[in-house]
Amino acid sequence: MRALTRKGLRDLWRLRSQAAAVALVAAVGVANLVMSRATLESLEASRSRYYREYAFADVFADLKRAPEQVAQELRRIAGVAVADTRIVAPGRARIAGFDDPIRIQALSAPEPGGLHLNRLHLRSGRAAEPGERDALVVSDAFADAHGLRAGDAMTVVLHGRSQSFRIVGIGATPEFVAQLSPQAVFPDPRRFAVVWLPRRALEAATDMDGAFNSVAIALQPGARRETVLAAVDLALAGYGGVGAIGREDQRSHRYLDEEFRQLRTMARLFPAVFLGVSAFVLYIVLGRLVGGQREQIGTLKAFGYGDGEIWRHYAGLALAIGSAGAVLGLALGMQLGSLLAGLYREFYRLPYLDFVLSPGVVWLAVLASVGSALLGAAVPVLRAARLPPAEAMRPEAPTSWRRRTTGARSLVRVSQAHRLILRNLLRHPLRATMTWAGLALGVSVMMMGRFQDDAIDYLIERQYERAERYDLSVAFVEPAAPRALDELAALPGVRAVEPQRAVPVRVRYRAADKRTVLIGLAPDAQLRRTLDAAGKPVPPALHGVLLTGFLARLLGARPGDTIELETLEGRRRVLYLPLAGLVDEPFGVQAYLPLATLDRALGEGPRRDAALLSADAAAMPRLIAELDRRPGVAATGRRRESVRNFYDSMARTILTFTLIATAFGAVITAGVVYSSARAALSERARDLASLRVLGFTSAEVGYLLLGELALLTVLALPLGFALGHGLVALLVLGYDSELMRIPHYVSASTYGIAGLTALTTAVLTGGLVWRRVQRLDLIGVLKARD
Amino acid sequence: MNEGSIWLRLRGKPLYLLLAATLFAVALWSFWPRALPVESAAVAAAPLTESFSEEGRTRLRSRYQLGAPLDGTVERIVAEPGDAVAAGDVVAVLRPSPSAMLDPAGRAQSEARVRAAESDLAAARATVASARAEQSRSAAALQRGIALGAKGLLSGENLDSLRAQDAAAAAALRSAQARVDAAVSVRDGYRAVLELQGDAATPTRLPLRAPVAGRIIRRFVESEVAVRAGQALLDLGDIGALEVVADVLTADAVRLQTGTPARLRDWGGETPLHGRVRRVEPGGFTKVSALGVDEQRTVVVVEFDEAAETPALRARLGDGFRVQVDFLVWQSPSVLQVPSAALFRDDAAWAAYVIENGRARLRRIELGRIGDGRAEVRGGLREGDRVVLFPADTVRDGRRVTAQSP
Repeated sequence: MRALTRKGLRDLWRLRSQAAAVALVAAVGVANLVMSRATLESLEASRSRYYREYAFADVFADLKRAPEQVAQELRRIAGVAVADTRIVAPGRARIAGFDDPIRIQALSAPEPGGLHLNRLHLRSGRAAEPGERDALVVSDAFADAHGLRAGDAMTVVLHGRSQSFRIVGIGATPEFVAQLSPQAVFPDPRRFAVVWLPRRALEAATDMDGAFNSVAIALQPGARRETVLAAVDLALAGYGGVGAIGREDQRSHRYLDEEFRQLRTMARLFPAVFLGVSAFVLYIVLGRLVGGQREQIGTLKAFGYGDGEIWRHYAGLALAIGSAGAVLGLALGMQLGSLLAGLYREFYRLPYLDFVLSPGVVWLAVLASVGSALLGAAVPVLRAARLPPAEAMRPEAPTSWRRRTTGARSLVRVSQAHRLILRNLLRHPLRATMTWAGLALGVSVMMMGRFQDDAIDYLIERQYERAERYDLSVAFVEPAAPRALDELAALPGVRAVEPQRAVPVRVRYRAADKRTVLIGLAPDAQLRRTLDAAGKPVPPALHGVLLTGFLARLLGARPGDTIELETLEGRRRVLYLPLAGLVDEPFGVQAYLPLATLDRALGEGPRRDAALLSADAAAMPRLIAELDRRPGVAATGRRRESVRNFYDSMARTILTFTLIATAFGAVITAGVVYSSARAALSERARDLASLRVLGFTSAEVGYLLLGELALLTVLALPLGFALGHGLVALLVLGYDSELMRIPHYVSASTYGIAGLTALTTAVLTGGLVWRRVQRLDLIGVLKARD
Repeated sequence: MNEGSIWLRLRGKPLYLLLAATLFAVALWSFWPRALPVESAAVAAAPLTESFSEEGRTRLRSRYQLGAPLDGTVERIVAEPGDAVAAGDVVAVLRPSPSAMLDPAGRAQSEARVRAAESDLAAARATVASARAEQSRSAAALQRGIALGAKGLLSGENLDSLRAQDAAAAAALRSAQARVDAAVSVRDGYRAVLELQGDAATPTRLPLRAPVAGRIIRRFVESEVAVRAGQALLDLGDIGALEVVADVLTADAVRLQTGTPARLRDWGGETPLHGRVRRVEPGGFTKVSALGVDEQRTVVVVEFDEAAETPALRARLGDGFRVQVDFLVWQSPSVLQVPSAALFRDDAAWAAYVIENGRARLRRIELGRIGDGRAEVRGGLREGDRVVLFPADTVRDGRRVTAQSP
């Protein structure tokens, strides 16, 4: 073996603990990259395959009611390959042993034979035969949540009519990868189900014989979606069509897309930070190593080794560390990736979630790790290679004692040890700064990891504690006269009733438009309020419309601008109202008007779609039974239970993410501290040993080293917090969307945990170095240096 | 390495102390329990009303509906809803339609029937004459027979038959007379019918008069059209005398009695009006509710409170106008009350969080009457206590809270 190689291996062995620290940091970055990208690719691949195999439609259109012949018109539209009509109806369900109200979405199952879209993927059981009157297929998330199996009974209430059904199968369609009710913000598998009934049974239940109220369309390859959408709208306009939407606006698809977007943001941000830190740490380590090997380099050069060989030698060290990091990171990333994929399977009902690790990701990981290693090693290695041999063989000249760096003569009061520490810091300002920055990054990464937990807490508190304060929400099958509110007020246990009205609407400002919902609220509403950015309630304005802040930004409108609102129901009135204010809410985008103004604007008299109730908890079971009994009630929702359910379902996911991020952050901090301390120790070993010989205790000598570290760590906290805020801001920017806005909120406990973990890690790592300080070679120091 | 105690060792190493102090400070600052911002309100004495609300409508205290008395054609009614009328004013004119018997064929038939009846009468009279003649003959024969019988010149049998004949003849005469009477009645009857028939050429006009002074409220028929007997033409009444009716759930109606005050709002005016329950009707009926279930309801009549009203306001109300009626079942001018938003159940009892010295304290409360968004406090709270509104799940007994302005 060549001598240089042997030297390299020996150096690597000598540096093993520092090399391990750097490799770990690189591994963490690679693991994060692999984890998020692999999960993302797996999800995307599984989804594409699912959509393809089960014929997910491209266009969806809902309407009030049209006879079956209209489907022929739709099929004749240029660009339409398949048009599948179906009946969709919201309703309620009851199952044995569960008292809470259950919302359902009932769809007509495609008849066997023929080309159908959104085909059923059956997990167990079978599809219902067309002639069966009491058989249905239920969604798998719901079935799993309640432990239902084929053969179990289920009572379904549609349009006020109640009927008992048998479950013959459990499955899902690509239309419901994310199984959540149209009004909900997050999935509630225990309280929402999708049921597929034979068409005839659904026709009978909803008075839709020979008619349909929803259509799914597959486009021909190369067809332009906008033209097809416009044509479909035209064809269905006379039948109460509310506007056709493309696949990207379909609820489940959008939900999944949002998730992908967040994953992508994470996949871009975190690994970049981690790998950056590892590159930087490697820079420190290699820089100091090279610095410590000046004489050897000089000797080697004197013996005739060329610059290139020296360069390759030290680069090889960096490469070895980088590769070790890559391998470790890949293994860790794959483990974490499959863990993450498992978590996602609970939310997104894909029939298969193949964990795909594309070669592209592997190459990217290796490249990233090795690349960052080389980057970190570049400068010191180049510097080493350029040293002329004679100079290299001389001991390094002490750094210049420039007057400027010790400006404050008053420092003469400081004790000797502190003067030493301070002088050391000031003489190597770059090194000190970089150690400081590295520690700060460790803190900021931990903050970024815990941020998700904080943000969700804040969201929930903002929306479900301060903005919405009702106990029950009641939705009506048909818009009801205000009499219905009196009826609700007379029910047992009801303390307050607040009405609500909602109309689908297209909001336009200049060239931008967005389809959303216009909500009418009572003027003194307490159970559902609109809050501004400061959390103060802003009541719906008398002469203007309130918009969600995100929507206003999307449209480019500012308070005072005139907004056009085209209602998509009833008389299809178009309203022109000034933007009166902005509502800061985390979920969805909405427009708000006072109830009386909305009634007048729509011209149909007072109509109410829903009511919010405040009720006595002791009377709740009776109240729910009373509401259940009323055919005019489409669905009821319980706020507290929904929130609790959300926490229960998300808890595991959040905990996993937080643990991973905290662990990663701790590794980074430990890596930076350890490598800095070890490097400093190896540089100053002689000096420190000399001091020991002069009579200083090892504690005092250790203080010189570790005290400096302690100071840097403490100073790193403020920078770390600031950087953490910066990273959080980047995350928030990446996450913002129509469906959800994550607030830029960091709780005090996050600061605490990040800071404490950093400090504790520093202390523990320092302890490791302390032991080496105790074993300084005093004898070796006394030998003269040649 | 044992150079004295830890403090001695650390005394010269302030940077370590700095680290430890920072650790401590960060821990303290981040985990120090922070006060939760909450919305609060004060418990105070104020007026409280227990009430429930029902949709109602106005109606005339006395409604007079003018209907067509006969089939006929009503002339164009020029009176319009809102016009004032005095008692006895002609408001509509009806031209009764010719009855079925008035056509010429019918008339001829009636006349023929009269003639036939008169013929029958003449025949009956002739029968009477003949019967009389027969009767006198048989009476005379009987006399002769009796005379001969006395002389013994006639057999008893012959005498009996003469008597029988006489009796028969008398009976026949009576029957013939009765028939004459009947024929007279029949003839009179047909004559009467003929007389009752008017002349088709000159129809009569029947004026319909307003039964009372008042205003015309509704007009059901405007143009000149044929109407049936009983068809409604106009609604009249004194628009100044209105009352309000509401269909009230029977379970709520038992809480009402004559004299219960009511507040009438959402009628379109600026201020609510006031009234009192005049009557709760004892008969309930089934009505389908707005959300589709059967409910038992009964009618409750509310009269306007004359003393409290400005007639000008009420004058804008008509008949059948929508009013939202709040029945004020119980009122008190000053009672200690708490907003219901602060109340929740703690096991079976009512409770609320009271803010004391910056902490939330759970207190069990006894409630009395429940009003609109507030409830009467009978025990557990004092005046001036501040309670937490809409307490979140995170509020616990002893938790630090800070009251913020809503």
